[in-house]
Amino acid sequence: MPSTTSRTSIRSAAWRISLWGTLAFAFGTMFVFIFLHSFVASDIERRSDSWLSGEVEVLGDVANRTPKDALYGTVVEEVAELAGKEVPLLYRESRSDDTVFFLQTGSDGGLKLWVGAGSGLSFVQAIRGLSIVPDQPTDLQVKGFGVPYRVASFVMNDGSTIYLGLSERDELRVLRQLRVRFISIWALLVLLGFSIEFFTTRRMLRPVREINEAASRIGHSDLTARVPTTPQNDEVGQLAGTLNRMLDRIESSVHQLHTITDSLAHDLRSPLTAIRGKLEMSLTGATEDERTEAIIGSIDELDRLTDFLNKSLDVAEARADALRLSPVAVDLDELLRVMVDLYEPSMSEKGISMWLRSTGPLYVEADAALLHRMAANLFDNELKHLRAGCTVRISLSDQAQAAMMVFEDDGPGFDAEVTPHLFEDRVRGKNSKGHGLGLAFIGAVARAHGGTVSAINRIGGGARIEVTLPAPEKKGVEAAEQTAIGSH
Amino acid sequence: MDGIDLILKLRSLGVRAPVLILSARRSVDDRVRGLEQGGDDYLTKPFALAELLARLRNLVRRNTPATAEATKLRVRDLELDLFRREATRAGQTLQLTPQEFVLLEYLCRNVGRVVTRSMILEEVWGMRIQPDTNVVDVHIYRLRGKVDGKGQEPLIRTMRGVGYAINDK
Repeated sequence: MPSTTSRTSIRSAAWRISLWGTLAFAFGTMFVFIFLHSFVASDIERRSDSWLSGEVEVLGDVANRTPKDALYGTVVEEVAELAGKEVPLLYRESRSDDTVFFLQTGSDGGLKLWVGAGSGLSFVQAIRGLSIVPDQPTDLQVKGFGVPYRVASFVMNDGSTIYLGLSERDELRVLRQLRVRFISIWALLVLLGFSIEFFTTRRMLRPVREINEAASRIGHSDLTARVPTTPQNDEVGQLAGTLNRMLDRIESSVHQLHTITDSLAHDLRSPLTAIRGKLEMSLTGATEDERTEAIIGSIDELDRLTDFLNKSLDVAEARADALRLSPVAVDLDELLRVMVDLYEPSMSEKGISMWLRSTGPLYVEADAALLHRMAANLFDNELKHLRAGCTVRISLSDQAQAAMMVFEDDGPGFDAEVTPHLFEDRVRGKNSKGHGLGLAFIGAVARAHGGTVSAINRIGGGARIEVTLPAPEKKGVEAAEQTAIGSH
Repeated sequence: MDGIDLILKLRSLGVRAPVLILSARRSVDDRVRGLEQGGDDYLTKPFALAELLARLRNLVRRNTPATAEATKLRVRDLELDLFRREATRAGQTLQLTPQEFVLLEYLCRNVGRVVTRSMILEEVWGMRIQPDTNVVDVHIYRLRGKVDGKGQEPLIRTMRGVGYAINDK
């Protein structure tokens, strides 16, 4: 639709930019021209004035010296006519009979001598209505002549006055020519400048329009699309690059979210089916025991499900850096001792021996609840994966900048294929019955505290998990010790 | 008006009754917010009924004037000397580790009531954790081996799917 197109182009940035640019240019040049015009006009006037003043003086001189006899009029007229032929004109074609006039009036104001077009009476009329100062050329508008005259005067000894007039036709013509030529060239320039500016800006802004179209396409449907990039590394090119990087990030986040929801749905389906089956059994069970068993089994499944959901959310929260930490001084030595005490029966029941090596109280600034859960995950991990006869060695040491917890065992170690992805969600070994969230959670908590975690297979066999947490500054340690003493 | 608004409203009206928040929101932020705005305890859904009851009892106890602490706990023929940290059953001294004593004390204080595994972890080990493994069960199993000797009537009962309880009858 043409109307829409023209309206859009009028609203476009290219249109506005070129419009304002052209306006500024047009006004600027017009201003310069006005200045130039007035300069030229005053210069022409000055030149004709100086000619008039000089000539009228010469004529006056001649008239004064010429004896006032019968030949006086002829002589003066002759001289005036000669002078009139030497008028400095810029255009030859502006010369005509009425270009110059010479007039002598008596002391009573009556016409004495006249050289020029017509009878000269209208000139006498015009001059009477004007107060002319000698030696000061003035404009004179004469009835019957469209163009004004520039008039200089000279007062003679006998009281009569000589007037010499020059038509301003030549000057006006020069100025008009100047104006016409300027205006036409100016209009041409403005038009040309506007179109050049308009099309250049439009060209430069075309990538922006394309980016806009692509972005709206992406916004509506297709997240895999990208905005077009330009080879130039200008602002627009950089914008396209930034947008594309942002889209990459968004796409990968959305993809990640899809994966998580998919696997979450998948992980929920099996226990939900199991619970449903067990509850159905509780309705149809033959004996009281069977029915009770089914209900208890359902509760167990539900507990596991809740636990799994909580862990998934914990990991997601930690991953998104949304964990709100309320750090307090936590003694890692004490924490590990309590944990060892808690897990020792289970370990020995399974035939696993456990050793803790620690050099004494070691404080870190950390969120106690998260640290507890992280430690429980580490112990659970060992308990779940070790066979009878294995040994777990736990050591706590004070490194220069950090507290380091190491869990070493001589068990089967990590599956080679999952080793590079140990700290990602839902990565589990072939024989693991877990959800694959334990190590992901450990990693997330350590990172949330500014620590690190690494897991490797030991050379002699078995796994080694290393967690470091940054040590508080010295002042913090002293404060922590005081609290610890106070609380005991 | 959400639950927190309700608490604030109640508090501004001068209601001093303890408040237990039951919520499906489980993030640390929500929990901290709930407790800061005047809630006394926070329990996330889903929860075991036994745990809800235990927490309510805790709140009520916290808000009643403390009575003189008994130095002895007695459940049938089981006797706990809280001062000397010794337990006897039918006159026989039980060889308990300090941790086992605390666990038995906690069960006896809640005599006739079910305690869940997470309650045991919180009260005895001071941790709000949810292990994937049966650590608590193994502790109870060991304790039971010491408390319920051969020929004696079992005191510690497993409430399957819920937790454990000591019965006084």
